[in-house]
Amino acid sequence: MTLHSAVKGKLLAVIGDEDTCVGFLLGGIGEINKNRHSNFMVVDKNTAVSDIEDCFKRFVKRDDIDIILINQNVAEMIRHSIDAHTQPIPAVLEIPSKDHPYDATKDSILRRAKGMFNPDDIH
Amino acid sequence: MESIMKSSALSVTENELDELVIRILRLMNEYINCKINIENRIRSGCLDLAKARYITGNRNISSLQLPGEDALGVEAQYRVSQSNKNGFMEYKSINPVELQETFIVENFKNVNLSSDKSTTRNTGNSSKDPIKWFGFLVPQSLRQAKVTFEKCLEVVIECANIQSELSHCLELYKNRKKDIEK
Repeated sequence: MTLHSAVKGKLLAVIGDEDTCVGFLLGGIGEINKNRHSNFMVVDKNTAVSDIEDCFKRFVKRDDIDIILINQNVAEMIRHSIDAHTQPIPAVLEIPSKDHPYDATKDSILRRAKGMFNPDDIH
Repeated sequence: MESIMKSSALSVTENELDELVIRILRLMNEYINCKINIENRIRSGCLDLAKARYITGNRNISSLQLPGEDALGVEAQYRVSQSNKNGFMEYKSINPVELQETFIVENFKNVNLSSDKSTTRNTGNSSKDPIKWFGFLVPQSLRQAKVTFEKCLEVVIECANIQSELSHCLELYKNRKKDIEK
């Protein structure tokens, strides 16, 4: 059983709209752990921003989650929390949804990269 | 003499910076391509889900079928492992079939030679297949959606690796710039 635990690996979590969550859970990432905590959250138009933020912070604190997938439009709602997360683990990946195409100008890591190349530095 | 050594050290650092910038730009390009690839796959998967809903009805393929917090035995079929590679994290997907075979081998070593052995060997992960949450006779489009999202997960892992390397390079760039400014 030790070998099994060693290769078991970590989870991917998902915070997104219904189709995103249904799709990725169909892909096999869904889990309910022994503490009855899930690794996914379905966000709809009635979901409070505070709930999304609390869920994101819970996923970040868990040591069994390595990657958090979050729809980019949902990430915009909690941008301050996402930008504040600078640790490499868990990795936070902003993914597009069917209703909101990918916008590179809003992606956290690309904004950080753009900020590094300040036009004032170009002599 | 000292100034010559300082200027040569500075030019070495500047060359390193130039290489880092090129690497960062290349990684940004790969990152954006990856995201577009994910977007295309998600769109295709959502289209398959919509087709499945058209056949079975809206309520039969929705978040209502997803397991709640009181559900038992819900385990992820797809996991990742991480390793430290040259200062940044590299993720790899763990094949659920290999994981199950490892589990079966371990169980086989622990059970006695009895009829229970065949039950352990036959235990597959088919009972934990998430497609079963949507019923036993599901439309082909739902199976297709599952395949699409499984492939999407591979691209997600690739994207996570690029992001990790990009983040590491940005950090290196920041530190090298500080060295030059000193």
